[in-house]
Amino acid sequence: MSKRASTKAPRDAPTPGARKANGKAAKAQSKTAPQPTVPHKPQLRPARKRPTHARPTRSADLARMLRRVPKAAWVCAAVAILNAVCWSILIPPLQGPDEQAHYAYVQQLAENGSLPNGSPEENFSPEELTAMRDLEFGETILNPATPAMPSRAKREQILHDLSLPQSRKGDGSVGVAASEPPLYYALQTIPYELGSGSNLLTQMELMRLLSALMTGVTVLFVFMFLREALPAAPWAWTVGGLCAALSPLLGFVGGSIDPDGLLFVVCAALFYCFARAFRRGLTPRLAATLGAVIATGLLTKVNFVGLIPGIAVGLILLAVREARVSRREAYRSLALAGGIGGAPAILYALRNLATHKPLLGIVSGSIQQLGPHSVSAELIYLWQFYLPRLPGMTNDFPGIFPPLQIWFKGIIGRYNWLETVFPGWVYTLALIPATLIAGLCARELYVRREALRSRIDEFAVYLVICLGLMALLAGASFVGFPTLAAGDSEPRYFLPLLALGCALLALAARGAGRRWGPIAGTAIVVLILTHDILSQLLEVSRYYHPY
Amino acid sequence: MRVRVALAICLTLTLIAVGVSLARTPPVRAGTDGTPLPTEVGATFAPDTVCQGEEVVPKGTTIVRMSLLSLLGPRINLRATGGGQVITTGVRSSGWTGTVVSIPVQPVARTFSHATICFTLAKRQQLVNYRGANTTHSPAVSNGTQVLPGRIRIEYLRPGKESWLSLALPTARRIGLTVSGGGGIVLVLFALVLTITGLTSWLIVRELG
Repeated sequence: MSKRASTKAPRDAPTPGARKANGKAAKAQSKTAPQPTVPHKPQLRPARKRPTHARPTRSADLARMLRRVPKAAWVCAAVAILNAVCWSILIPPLQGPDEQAHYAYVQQLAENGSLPNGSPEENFSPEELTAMRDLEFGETILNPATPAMPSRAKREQILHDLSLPQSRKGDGSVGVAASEPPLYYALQTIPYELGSGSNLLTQMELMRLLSALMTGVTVLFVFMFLREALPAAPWAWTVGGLCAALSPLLGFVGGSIDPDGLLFVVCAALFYCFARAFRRGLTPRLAATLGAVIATGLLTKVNFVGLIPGIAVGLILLAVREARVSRREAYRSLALAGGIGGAPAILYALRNLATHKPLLGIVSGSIQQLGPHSVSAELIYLWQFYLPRLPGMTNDFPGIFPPLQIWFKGIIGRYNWLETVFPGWVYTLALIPATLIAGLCARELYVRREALRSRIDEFAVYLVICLGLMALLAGASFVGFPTLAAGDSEPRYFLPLLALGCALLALAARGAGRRWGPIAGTAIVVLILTHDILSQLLEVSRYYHPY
Repeated sequence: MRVRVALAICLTLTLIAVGVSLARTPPVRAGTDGTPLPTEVGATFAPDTVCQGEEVVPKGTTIVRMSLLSLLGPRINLRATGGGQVITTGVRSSGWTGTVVSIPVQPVARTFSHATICFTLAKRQQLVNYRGANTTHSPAVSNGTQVLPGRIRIEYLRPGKESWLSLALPTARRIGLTVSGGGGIVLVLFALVLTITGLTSWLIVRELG
């Protein structure tokens, strides 16, 4: 931490003792540490003068920006990429979550040059259907008793069948991916085309590598978020960054073809931008960046819609703060962020109008489905989806305790199609470190309650973002209820909040105090590493068992 | 220095955890009732007890694998009887997902022919499908009265003799079948995990130490 930064943020600043303890790391990072502003007082910026010399190019700006990223962040990103590559090797082809549908979407874009037709059917290309048949896709998913590739003869058969001339064009139906926006799939057409001279299996491997790279970018943004949000303890950034990088769930998603991979990048970038804006003010440049992030999110996955209420609250709060200095600039920033961010949604609505489709497209269908239900029934369901049932509530999950059996177990490990799980005792054992970490985190939040209070608006925005996503997922699950309780209850849907989760882990490490903090941080990171390795072994036992 | 010591201790514990995992023996199939898949022979939303006779429960069985499909399955109580006595019992807690569910049971002392397997599904809000094949030969019976159109596939597992570690080579070959590079890819995997561990340790010492 630089001396300047430390003196500017006394509440967050480490004590001399802590600086001494962290000496080497602090020195190494002092050059790159952010310079926080006093909360609630946006920095006064001098009037801009027209530069007399040539304006630096955008690439030079980018290079300068990248040079400011600490080395530790790059290492965390590298660890995340390597981890996702490990997972990409271990997950058999088409066994990532809904991977068959995501691959079909990419193939549709690459081969037909058009968006899917919106049908949830799985009339994929003859080539992909051949691969699904040969890989015994239907028999393997959800069935831990069936291994991925039982014999060498089977592999030879697949390679032979895929070498036959077969059409790569489907009829435009891409299964469950039909409702997703196209950005991630459009990016995936690059590795798809690179591998087009080879077979489907090679193309999938290349596409998974792109997902792995996205995982690295996610972790980079998580690290940068921690650097902005917890400026006083540089070592805690590393704890949070490594926890993100080693997260088995992130590796699992990053090792397969799944638009969640890009959604995680966008959400981590979003949290970084907000943390930066709350510390340094919402400049027009940052507002434009936020707008671009929002637009990218809307073009990536429908789930991003759940974050919109929190984003709106955040932008309004930032604009109000900014207006204390310059009302004009505040409105300009707000308009920039809102305009750029909302552009895809507006264009989509206009396109729907022009083609005589429902104004909100696929979202309209979801709203209609929600229509006949009573609001109170939905609220009760939403509550029980995450929290223990209260007296007087009807029991929507008889025999199931969702906080434990869906969410906690999900975080610890329910991979592939949710059928790949650890033995029951592992989840019970995991309650011990989870409780310790939660306790340390709570202690740190209590000790720093003054600092929390001074940044209450920032935390309120993060909370609204969380609640928005939770409401969206519970709402989507409620659509299938009561025929299907707890549908859409996959823990990976919460990884857009990875940055916040890692901040909590970093806080837990800090909660152990100045003397024991780095040791607690070490223990937490190695715990996640162990969790990751054991999860990979679980994946091996699921798909490659010899019995 | 303290961070280095903590790191060394934690990594040692990691190594022990991995070692213990690899020393475990995966269960092997001891027998099956031979019912083919994947016809659906029944489904229920309500609590249900299903019994299926003419089963052969092999000696040493510790897991009974039932072909039941659910996305968030209920608690299952299993009871196997034969020759007028209880052969074994077992329980699987709720929250399971898949097309098969493994129910751990008390080890079976000897092989029992003509056994009856009964399982009870607890109260829930989730559909459970019974999977197997249509047949008139000793079909499964639901709630003591309703005869199902066929039998549910059941498999019996017992502890294997070889540990995961001793199965490393065939497992590596299997991993190699799904990706380019063959069995050698496992060496790449191993190198990647070592690199991840090395980079993580280096960064911890550099930033936290």
